Amino acid sequence: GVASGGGGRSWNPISLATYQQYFDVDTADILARLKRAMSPGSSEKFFGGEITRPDLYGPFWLCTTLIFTMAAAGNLGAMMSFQPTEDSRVFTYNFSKLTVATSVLYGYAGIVPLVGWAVSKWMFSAPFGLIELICVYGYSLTVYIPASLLCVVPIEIFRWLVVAVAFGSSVRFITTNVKDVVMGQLDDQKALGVLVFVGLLHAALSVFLKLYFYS
Amino acid sequence: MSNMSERMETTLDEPVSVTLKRELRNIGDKMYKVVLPNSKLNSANELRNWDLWGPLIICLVLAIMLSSGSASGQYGGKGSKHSAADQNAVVFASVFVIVWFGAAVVTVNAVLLKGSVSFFQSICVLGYCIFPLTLSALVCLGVGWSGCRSTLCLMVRLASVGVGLLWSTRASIGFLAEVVPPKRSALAAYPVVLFYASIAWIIVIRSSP
Repeated sequence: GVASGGGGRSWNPISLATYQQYFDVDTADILARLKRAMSPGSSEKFFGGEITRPDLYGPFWLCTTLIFTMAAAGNLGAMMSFQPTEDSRVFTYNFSKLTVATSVLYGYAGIVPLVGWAVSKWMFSAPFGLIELICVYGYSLTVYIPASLLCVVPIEIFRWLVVAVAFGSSVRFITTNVKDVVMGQLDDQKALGVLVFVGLLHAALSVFLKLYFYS
Repeated sequence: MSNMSERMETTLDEPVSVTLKRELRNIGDKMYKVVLPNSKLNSANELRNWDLWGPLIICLVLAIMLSSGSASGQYGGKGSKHSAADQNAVVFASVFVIVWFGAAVVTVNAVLLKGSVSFFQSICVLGYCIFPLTLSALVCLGVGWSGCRSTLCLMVRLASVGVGLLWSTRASIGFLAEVVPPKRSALAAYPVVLFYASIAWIIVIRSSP
């Protein structure tokens, strides 16, 4: 599960093999993981059955792809809903949106799992595995990629609907995979509080992305 | 031994113009090989003698072309927060960052997937393969500066960028897919597509009239 994995993992920061072990996946593996991350109604855990080792290929390239699709689609969407006014007669694209998007997405997918792992290591006897948690957060972004493309449609209600559906699927994925460790270590009330906090954080991300890129 | 030292003396002694001419001819040669429609930059043959001058020149030309947009109404009047000069600086920097950092990330990704490739050779291949997109940028900017806003002009711009994208991707994807274990070639090849697609996107954005 998402709890700290077994032994057999070397950790030497300078050696290449340390990082290669997190990229030890084939194309078929990645496709299987993407499928599991996108399956809507299942309460199937991410790390179960065929998927045992976490990888960093998925989280990194999903983040990068999402940055790209949001920048491209957001630009397209803004262009389509652009109304020339007295002040701005031509459509311009603000390139600094790209830098903000990069920081926010890599930051969220990297720092939130890091903090969660650190807290769990300090408070729990059976903490999260860091790479497993990064994996969960990274793959939870999968559904945002098609959502970001759909949001090109310049109808506000439709955009919010797409964001809501994507958020629902994504947050469900995260809570399904995180709740075992949380509920095993805290009493029910506290565990619920933690899960709600996780959900709110994710909601904040989704709302920010929608407002920043598509409005 | 004496032969070698004679040869070394010769290239050190030759006039700068001769050196420059020879280096430029090498670079031009590689660019020509990239542009050939069916070229596959095979690591063993074509680009064993990697150099980074070619990619630097290509990147510089592209960055200058894309960041020179002030004449075509790229700025938005009184209300805009960023002046044209600011925008141009950001674009120039972005092109450099995307090209070099992107090429590095794509290469490191291939290495992490247990690929066996020389770091600088891979950067060299990726850099040279931007050349078709530079040609597309030239076409796009020409169309954009003519001020033509019709759908036909838009189609021409999109088509030229699309062709450039396909060309660049096809030229370099073979190289990267071959250096990793075959079950992972798609994993090594996908970042290449993303890399050239982001360059293509900047070209489309910056060349709108």
